[in-house]
Amino acid sequence: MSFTRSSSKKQTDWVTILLYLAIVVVGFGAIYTSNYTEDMHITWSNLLDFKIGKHILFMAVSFIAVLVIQLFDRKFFVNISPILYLISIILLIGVLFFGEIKGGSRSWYKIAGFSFQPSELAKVGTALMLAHFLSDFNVSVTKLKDFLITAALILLPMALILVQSDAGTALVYTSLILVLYREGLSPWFLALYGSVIGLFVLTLIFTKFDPTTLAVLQTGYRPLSIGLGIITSLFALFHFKNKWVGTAIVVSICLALILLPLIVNDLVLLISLFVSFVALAILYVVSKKNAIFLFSSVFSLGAFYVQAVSYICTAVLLPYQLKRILILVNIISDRKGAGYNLEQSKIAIGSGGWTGKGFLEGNYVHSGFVPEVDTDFIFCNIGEEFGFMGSLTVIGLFLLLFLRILSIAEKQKSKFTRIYAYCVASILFFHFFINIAMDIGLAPVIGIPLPLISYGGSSFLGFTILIFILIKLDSEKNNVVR
Amino acid sequence: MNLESRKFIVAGIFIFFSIVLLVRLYNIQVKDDSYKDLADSNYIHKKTTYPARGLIFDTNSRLLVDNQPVYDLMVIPRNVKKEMDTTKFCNLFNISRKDFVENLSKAKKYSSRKQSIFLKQISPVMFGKAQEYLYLFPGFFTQVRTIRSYHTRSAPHIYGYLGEVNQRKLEQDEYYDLGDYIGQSGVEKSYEKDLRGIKGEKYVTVDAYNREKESYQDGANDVPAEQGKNLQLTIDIDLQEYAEKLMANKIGSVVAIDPSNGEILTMVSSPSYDPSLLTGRARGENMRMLNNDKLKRQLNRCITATYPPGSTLKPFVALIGLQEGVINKNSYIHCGGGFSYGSGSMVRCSHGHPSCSNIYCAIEQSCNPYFCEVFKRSIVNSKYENEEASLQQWINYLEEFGLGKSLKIGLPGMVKGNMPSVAYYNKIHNNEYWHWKWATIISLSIGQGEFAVTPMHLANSISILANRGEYHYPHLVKNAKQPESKKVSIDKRHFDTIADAMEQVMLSGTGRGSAVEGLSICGKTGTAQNPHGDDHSIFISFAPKINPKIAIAAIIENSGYGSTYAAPISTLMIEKYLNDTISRAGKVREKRMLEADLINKEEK
Repeated sequence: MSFTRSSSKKQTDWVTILLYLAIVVVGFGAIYTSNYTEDMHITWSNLLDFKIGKHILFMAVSFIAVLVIQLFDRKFFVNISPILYLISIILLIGVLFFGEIKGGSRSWYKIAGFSFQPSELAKVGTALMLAHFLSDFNVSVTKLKDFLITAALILLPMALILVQSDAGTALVYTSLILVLYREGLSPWFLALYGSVIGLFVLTLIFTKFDPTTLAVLQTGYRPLSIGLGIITSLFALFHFKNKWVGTAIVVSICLALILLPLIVNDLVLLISLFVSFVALAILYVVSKKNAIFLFSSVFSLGAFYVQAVSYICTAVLLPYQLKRILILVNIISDRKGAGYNLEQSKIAIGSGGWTGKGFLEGNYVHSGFVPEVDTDFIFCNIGEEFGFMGSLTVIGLFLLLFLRILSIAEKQKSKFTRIYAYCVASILFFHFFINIAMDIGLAPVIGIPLPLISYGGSSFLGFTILIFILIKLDSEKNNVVR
Repeated sequence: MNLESRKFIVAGIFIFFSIVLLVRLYNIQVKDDSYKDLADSNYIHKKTTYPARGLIFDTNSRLLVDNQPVYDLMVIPRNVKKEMDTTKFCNLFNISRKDFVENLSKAKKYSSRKQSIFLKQISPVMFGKAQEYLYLFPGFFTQVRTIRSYHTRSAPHIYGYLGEVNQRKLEQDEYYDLGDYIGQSGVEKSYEKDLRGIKGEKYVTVDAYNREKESYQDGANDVPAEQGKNLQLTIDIDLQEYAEKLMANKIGSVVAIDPSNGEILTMVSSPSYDPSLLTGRARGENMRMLNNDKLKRQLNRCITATYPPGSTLKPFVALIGLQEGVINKNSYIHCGGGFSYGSGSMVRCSHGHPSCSNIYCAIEQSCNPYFCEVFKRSIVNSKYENEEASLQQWINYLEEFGLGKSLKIGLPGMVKGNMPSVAYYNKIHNNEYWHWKWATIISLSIGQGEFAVTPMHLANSISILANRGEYHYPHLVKNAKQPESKKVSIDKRHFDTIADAMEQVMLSGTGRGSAVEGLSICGKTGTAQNPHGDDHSIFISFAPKINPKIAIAAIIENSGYGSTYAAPISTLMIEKYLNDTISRAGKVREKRMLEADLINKEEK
């Protein structure tokens, strides 16, 4: 592939920059109001004693970063990607040994009084690396080898962040499946991603917990396996049409697995389901893709997953994480601790009405009922002070930004820039959706910031760099090739 | 397969989830009014619950200082409605309109969002009324606090008092809110962090009239207040009370220490005041009264008043002489009724006794010329390079007894006093014609001159002497963190010599009038010269001679010789402490002491 240089003119995308600036203004206002007290007197000399003052400093640092980005050209970013990724990984490993513990996770470096979160840099590094690897003209996610390498590139930083007990940030990386989907990954993976989340929530809903000890009283296996069995049978019926034998075999395998817990205990069931999945999958391959085995192996896998979630709840998740999730799906009704926070957050947002109470007039937030009101729950300020119109504006601004990035992505001749743009959009979107969703009870409180709005230097700088590298790459779209 | 069309799927996902958020937000913010009501009525109130302050006990675990509940009327200015019926409010709480406006603007000035005290310590009757009618006045509510109550009228200087926290402290320490009480003197101040406890939080739901309904979620989010740590003093309250009785109508101090461990048994500063004056509603008025008091009752003389030690320094001068080897216990030094030191100057000896042929006699008779000579020999000492060096060594010895230092006994504000110093003498007695020598500073030998010590210093030094040089740091609070005891650099045998000599004082010397039969008391009288009036009577003592259990320093201002008041008061206390009763002979002295009124003597 080679293109002639049609134009060396730089075309900076001012729409994206304006959307970026609009969101930054919203964030400035939200941080100001969340730390506002009537008796605060900000002067130049005590500016940095206030969070809003520090935020101004972060903005200034970010502006410098934007200028620095302008010094380089796209070739530089293409070449630097593997190095940046490697640095990110080293920093993520280093933080496990030299990091500061903040809010329960060891994910901060402290250098000369400043805290810095390497996972923010890792987002940029991973996005660039992914673009670098996938833009090679020989590479395609549909090839098993390339797919595995791609998965490893994503899972490596994710695992390292998970080890830091920063589950929220680790989950951000799962959003990159959208990038892979755009680059040719089968839509079934998207369906799988959705099913994993959906079945997880459903399992929790159907599992009976002891409300105080959170011990599992009865797993959600029976109702969910019946549901899965019915769906599988319907698929089989549709697939085999008049071949009743095939359908009957699928139905009976499902039925056998559904009834299995009558004679074995939970652990044996878990093992049996895994064994039957592996066996059926092998049979599927050996029998040269006989659909009977496909359907029944998919069913076994689903049933296995459902059964496994109950164990994950008690073994993998920390008690507070499980509690947050259980509160969200209304499993435990008493609203102690995490539930109290969510309740307060909903009251603050809900009290905003159509137009809100006005800037700095959000008395509910100012009364101190809402915790973490400048980070996790910063949307409360917008909801309370500007009401539904404020919510609409902010969500509208973000949506416009995401769609603009997608449209930029699709205009690129360069695969590298397109993939990077999709990464940026996916990462921003995940943060945006989960942060707001957790404030209104649609997602568990996993503590990830609202991009460019939540208080925090590392994240503000990280998102700014993420977006402005894209703007820089896009400005050279007419010059380039790879 | 056209991968580019997948952009629509991705865009669709973005749009779909954004709509999910918007639908949910629409439901919460627009459709569902209940959240608005909840927030509008401010339906959950966070209240601060105040911990009870730690109690104070004496050495035998008798309760000295306790708490009692009082009610404050609180206000959150921003919740006060402009249209409220102020007349009714003012009548209810019996305040003028002017007070109302003033108090409210004071609260506003602090913070319009945070609570502050509107009326302090309202009466139980008013509290009852408040409970009934406060719903009419949003923004106002009551709060329970505790104030100090005292089980004894003794020892106010040790407890100290509480007062409202000042602006500076408010800014320094997040713990405090406007109107909070904080220890301002005594152990209340020095142990504030232990005593104050940890504030709690309580969430209550209120109705639309701001009336409290119930604990929010059964108190699931409440943080209970944690009571402050109790404090056990080393004070023996019986002995303290007895000493205060003896000291009634006299100006001065008595400090008693257990030499074996440094525990301060008694600390009396007289005249004293009733500690309950500085708690409760009349505090402000009483505080003004005490501040204007001519006799300065509030002053803790034990740690802030300084005196020259006078003759009570002589045992220490002797100790240094013995340690330096310039005398031994059988040294004869001519008395002749005075000690001449050139150009006709003379330190007189008024005691009228034959010249002493040993140290026992010298201390027993408090012979001035004897100690002048000992001092001279200590300073003109060939062991040292010059007089400066030997004086420095002499001062070092005294400083080992804690003189000239602010002792960390657990009370704030102890003064250092003053010690003579080589640098000082070099400054004032040094020019090309003249350099100071031992004779210039001869008055140091009998405890006059540049010395200024507090009664606490005296008690501490006699306690070390009693314990034969083993220095247990004096302290007021049991189990307080103390440095390890240390030894002063004077041999134990010299202490034994001086103890014997001090016993002689009580048997046949200047203190014989105050001896107690059956108790081997060791003492030393002193008289501190007072340029402003009658001399101060000083007495230091300890008992028993072997394994001492109590060491006392007493100073009675303007009462003449040490033997007249300071000695009998000290030995009565020793008798009371060691025997628990006063013998018949003692009763006579006791009566004389109790009746002596030195404060009002001029008027009589």
